[in-house]
Amino acid sequence: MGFSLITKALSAGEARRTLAVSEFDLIVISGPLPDEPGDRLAVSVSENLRGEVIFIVPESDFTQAAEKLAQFGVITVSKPLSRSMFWNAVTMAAASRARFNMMRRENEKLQQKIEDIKIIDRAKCILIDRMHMSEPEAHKYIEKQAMDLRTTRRDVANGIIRSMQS
Amino acid sequence: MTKAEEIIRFVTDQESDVKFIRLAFTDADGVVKNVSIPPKRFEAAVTDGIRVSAQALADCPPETSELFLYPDCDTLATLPWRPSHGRVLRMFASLREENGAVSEYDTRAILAESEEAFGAAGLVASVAAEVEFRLFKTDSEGRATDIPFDFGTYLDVYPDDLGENVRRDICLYLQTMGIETEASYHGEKAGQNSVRLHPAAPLALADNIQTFKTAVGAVAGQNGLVADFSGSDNALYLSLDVTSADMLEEVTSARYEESPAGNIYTLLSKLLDSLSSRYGRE
Repeated sequence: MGFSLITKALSAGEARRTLAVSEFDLIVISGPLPDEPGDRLAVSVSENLRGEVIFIVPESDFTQAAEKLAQFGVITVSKPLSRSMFWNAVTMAAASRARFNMMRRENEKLQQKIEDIKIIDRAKCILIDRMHMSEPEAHKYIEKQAMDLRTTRRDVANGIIRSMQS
Repeated sequence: MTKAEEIIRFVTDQESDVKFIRLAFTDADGVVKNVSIPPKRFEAAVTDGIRVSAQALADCPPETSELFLYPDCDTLATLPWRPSHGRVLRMFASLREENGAVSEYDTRAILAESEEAFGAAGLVASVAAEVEFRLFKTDSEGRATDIPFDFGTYLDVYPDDLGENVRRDICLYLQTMGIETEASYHGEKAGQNSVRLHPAAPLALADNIQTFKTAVGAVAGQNGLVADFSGSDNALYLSLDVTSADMLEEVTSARYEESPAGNIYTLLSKLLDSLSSRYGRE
């Protein structure tokens, strides 16, 4: 596990400007920052799914910060901080990111399926209206076309929709 | 149930998760102002208004000490850039005197009146706007500097233009609030951006511009920037299309260049009044 392209920012403002332009997997905030304690930045980044956040706070602020920020997915760590503790936090953040990416891929697949269903339904409606098929007939028709033409039901559906527009 | 009663019910319901309601209005100089109230105060706001200091607001004569904000229940909107846990709603508010009469400092009411008179003169106006603003960096203490966010010029792309994500966020937030944008791009000056708002009736468009300015301020802050609308660097372009009240006859079209920093309600009100006297029929 390695991180490349490490960028540094000296204030929350500078961090926000950097995030406005680039994408990151991990953001490590050492609070307090000169322009804010750092918790707002931590929440903002985490809530908007802009990357994993490790928020390092002075020991005196730790309990309160950790409790408040956990609900936003922020990993809070107290300083002074040993090297091994820091790497533990980074490993946890990386694992969290990996899980997030898996869920995002699943979500994208589901979105695709929803789109497929919408398009296929539209094509079915056309077959029902214009070709006077029943719903099961339309369903079978699209399925058979997809098999015969060795393509997806979505492609068949798109073809039906396109041919009706010409 | 009246609209007010519906809203009272909605905001006081736990399920709605409303944390604050912002009563927004515009001062004489065109600056967006607001007062936030908790949901349980909303009913009182509707019946009695929320007190504000008149002296602090405009060039009020010394006799007027207090004005009251009354929410306009037709302008309810969620502010999409506020936290997801705990909504903030916004309503435009009218400024009224203690006796309930609309204050002469309520420029929004003045525009509403002008629009009504415009209609009575047999005319209808559709207004589109293009608003320019500049983005500047903040310093390490979070204060605005005079360093522009980028050094791009007209219609530039990354890396000369760094504001693409900022413009995108602004337009998406506005879209969520029902305000359509037609185009956005980098302006001529360093750090300058331009957004075109879809045409609307004068009062609605003026409201949209004020909402737009608020959204720009919020998105700028989220990105470590400060937005500046001052007229020395930026322009507000208004396109007015005037038709007959039955929309069948085109009466006139006009384009105006103004400062984005002024009071848009006063501006549009004057434009409508002058067009009304020129083209209106009794």
